[in-house]
Amino acid sequence: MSAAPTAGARPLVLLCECAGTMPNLDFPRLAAELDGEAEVRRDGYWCGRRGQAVIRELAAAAPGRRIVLAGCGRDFAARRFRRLLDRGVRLEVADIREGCSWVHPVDDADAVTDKAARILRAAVRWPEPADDRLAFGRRRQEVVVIGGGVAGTQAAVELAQMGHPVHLVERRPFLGGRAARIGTVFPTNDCGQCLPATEAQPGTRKCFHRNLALDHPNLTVWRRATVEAVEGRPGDFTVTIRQLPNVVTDACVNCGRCEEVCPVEASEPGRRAIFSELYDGRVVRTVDLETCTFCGRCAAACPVEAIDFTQSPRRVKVAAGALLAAVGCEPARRQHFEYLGYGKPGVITQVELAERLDEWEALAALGRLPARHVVMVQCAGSRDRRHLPHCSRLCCMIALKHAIRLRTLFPEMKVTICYLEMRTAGVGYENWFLAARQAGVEFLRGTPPEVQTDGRGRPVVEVEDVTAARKRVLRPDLVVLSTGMEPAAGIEELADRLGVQRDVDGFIDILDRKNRATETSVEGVFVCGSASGPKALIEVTTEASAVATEIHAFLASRGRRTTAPSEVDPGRCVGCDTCLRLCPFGAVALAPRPQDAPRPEGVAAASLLATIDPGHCRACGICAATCPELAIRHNVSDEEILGRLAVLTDGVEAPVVGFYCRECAGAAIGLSGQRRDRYPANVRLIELPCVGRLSAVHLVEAARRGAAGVFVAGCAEGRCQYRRGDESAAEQMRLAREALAAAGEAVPMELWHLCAADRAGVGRRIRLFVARALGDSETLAALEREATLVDGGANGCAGCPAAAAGPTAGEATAAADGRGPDRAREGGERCGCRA
Amino acid sequence: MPLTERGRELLRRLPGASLPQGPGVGCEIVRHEERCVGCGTCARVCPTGASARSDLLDVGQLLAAPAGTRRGELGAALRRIMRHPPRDPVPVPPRVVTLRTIVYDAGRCRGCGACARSCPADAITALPPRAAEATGGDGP
Repeated sequence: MSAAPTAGARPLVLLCECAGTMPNLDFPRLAAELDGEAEVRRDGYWCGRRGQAVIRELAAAAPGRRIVLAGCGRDFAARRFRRLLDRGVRLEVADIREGCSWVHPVDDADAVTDKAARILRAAVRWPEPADDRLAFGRRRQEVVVIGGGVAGTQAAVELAQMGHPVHLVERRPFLGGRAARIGTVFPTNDCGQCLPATEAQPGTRKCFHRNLALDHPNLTVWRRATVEAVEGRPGDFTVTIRQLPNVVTDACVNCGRCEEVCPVEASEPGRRAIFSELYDGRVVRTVDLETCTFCGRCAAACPVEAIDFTQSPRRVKVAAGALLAAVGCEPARRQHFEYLGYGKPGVITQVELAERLDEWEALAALGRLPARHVVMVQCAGSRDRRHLPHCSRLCCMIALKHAIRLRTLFPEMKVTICYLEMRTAGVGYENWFLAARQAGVEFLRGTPPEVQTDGRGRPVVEVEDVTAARKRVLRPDLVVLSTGMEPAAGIEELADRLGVQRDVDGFIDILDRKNRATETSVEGVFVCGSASGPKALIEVTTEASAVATEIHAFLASRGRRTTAPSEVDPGRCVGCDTCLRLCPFGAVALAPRPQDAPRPEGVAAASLLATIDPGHCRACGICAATCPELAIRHNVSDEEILGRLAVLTDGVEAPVVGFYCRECAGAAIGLSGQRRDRYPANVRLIELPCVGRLSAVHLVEAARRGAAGVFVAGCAEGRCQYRRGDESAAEQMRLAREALAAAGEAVPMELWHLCAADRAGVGRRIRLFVARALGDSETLAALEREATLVDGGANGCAGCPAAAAGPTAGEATAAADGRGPDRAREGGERCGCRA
Repeated sequence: MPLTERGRELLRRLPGASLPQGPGVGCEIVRHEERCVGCGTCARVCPTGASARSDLLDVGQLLAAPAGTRRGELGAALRRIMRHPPRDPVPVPPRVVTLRTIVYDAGRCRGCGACARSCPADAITALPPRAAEATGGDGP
């Protein structure tokens, strides 16, 4: 039944009395209980200098022999014995302190010792899975950066300077992206074409076109190029880049004769099919391949023979250890703000206003007034379920910047900003708002549902002024819509090619909204800048630097500590797609079963077989818990979980079983134990790598063994360290609940979400659950009174005797039909006096 | 009766219970022939060959299919172009990919539900396993 202990010899148990802090344990009895299964050595406290020296000698004397330290919990032991562990001594931990003695009644030595003995026996029988180093092999040092805007270029330049060969792939012929094309940017009111300067150049920043960093030998820039395919695995990708010819070669001196003779009007106004943009200064001239008729006049006119129509598109495969998606975002398409009259005369967007501002500057110099009244409408199409549900975060600042500029250029011009909320969260951003106020910009709270036109073709804005609570009719000369940003065109295909997930708004989803803003759902694929949501330049450049460091660290890494990956038993796998669908890390692949592979009875020879990629598997156990055919073996086997359950609960009257993950919930429970928050000794805890490892079979088995209640504690809601472990556990709990209810053996079951911040409440939570599960009305009443005192009556009704009288009718039925008491409580039947 | 290994493990602990549907428990497969377009996806994903593509086209089934369904439309079209459509199944040339009749053998089904999840025409439903029958006296 048990997995055979390694190296033949009986394990060595170091029984620690923890300097007399565990008076409710009978140590001689503990030692006697283990007799025969392990060799026991007792000591006052093993973590002292002398004790650690003895452990070192013992470990050296019998290499390979398991050493189980019975005393404090794993987190505490890991710190106390740090130096031993660093020397390669492997210590397993049986937590009889925070997990038993410290949290159970001081006066019940018999029951507490019995539980400690069971914890020890379980620890001796089932070795802890080894935390081995998974070696990746050497990761390739090249990086492919997709997108040559500010984000991509800065990250590429920094990576190149760190020594990584970088392929910078830009769809357009020029670097610089959107920031370089719009005139001035906030908050500095200058251009957005800066890159950090290199050591060779003085100063902190330099323009794209003067920056020597772009000439770094490690940097290869692919202009007019797209990523066509990505293959391989983290650390070793093969990327197919397709590049269109630039037509104009490096020989170009930018004389402009080609543009004079070009007969074709390009799609962008005022531009010929052969044109120049001076953003990054490397390529000055190019040909718009979509409009060019290939007439050849430019080639004939070119004095330096720099125009070569014979080039053809090329496709190149490059190797890369990591990829960076820095594709940015785009202004929203017009369909999102046409409801505000866009397209009618006198209604434009902020982008169009920015273009006009240059001309208006000339008008201002002449003392002319282009418009007497300008109304800006914020959130045009943004924060609107029908259009763009997200906040684009930039539009408020752009409006403020333009409003101030207008008021400065034309002091007689009236500028009104219709807004819902001004969102000026950023370093120094609020000053812009104050400056706009000072400049005399009118702020009108409320946005119009539509913009109409009067008989003379002028826009009419009817808007509800929320602050003054009255309707206002504005008749401006110009309405400027502050439109939002949306994901860049083609992001869907790119996300598919990279295999990364997108968020609800269509941007590339970041792995973790609190801690890892530049990682995507695929290991080795990173994201920075506006590709993961609209951002201001300061955030974009910060992220670009952050992602460069992160990629550098990723490529330098040679391995990571992990427990053994899960394995598929081909003799049992039928090749359905359950594990494939449920694996949060995409580690499972279904492939045709090899001819010589074993296969279960009744399964066709031409069937599929699931395989788990050990490089991707994080050993969460979701697949092992849900495999229909029990064909997946996790490093914590089913036999072990069921065995531990048996050892811990056999012969115990009405035990309460708790499964918890060793991540966040483990931290909360461990810290609660450190606080010596006490709960009854009939609570039996089983640690899992993740609650995703939990199967309905385990829950049903706990119930069959007579558990009075079962709780499962995972990481905080939506914060599972293995992404979907809590979802899986909830599903398994539903299954177990329904199955048990069908068999007429309903047991209260709850799924908890814990994190270290809950440390003060865990003990109370367990006490409450135990009292409810056992129907212990006295304890429950005491706990309810305590809660009333703690919460000041906010949670329960202080004056209501029913609330303090134990489980009410609602809860009793909830326990009987297998629903959690919490759910019954939502029904509002708890306290009658509220009605 | 389809029941997976895990479903069996559950029932071993809960004799006599009926199992709800959930990941990995096993399910009973119900096919809605009128919605089937004969693409063969279920046959491709089926691990045990319980769903298989037949080399024959069941013309009678097409003609009997109710109007408004894909098969019904095909039946109506067939009636328009043929005065006496054959009543017996006809062989389908190998190059014809769709339209085939799918043969489902419940005896070989393990109830993994892969076919129901992958059916593009929504023609397969996975119902909770009929567990009481599935135990077959296999007590604890």
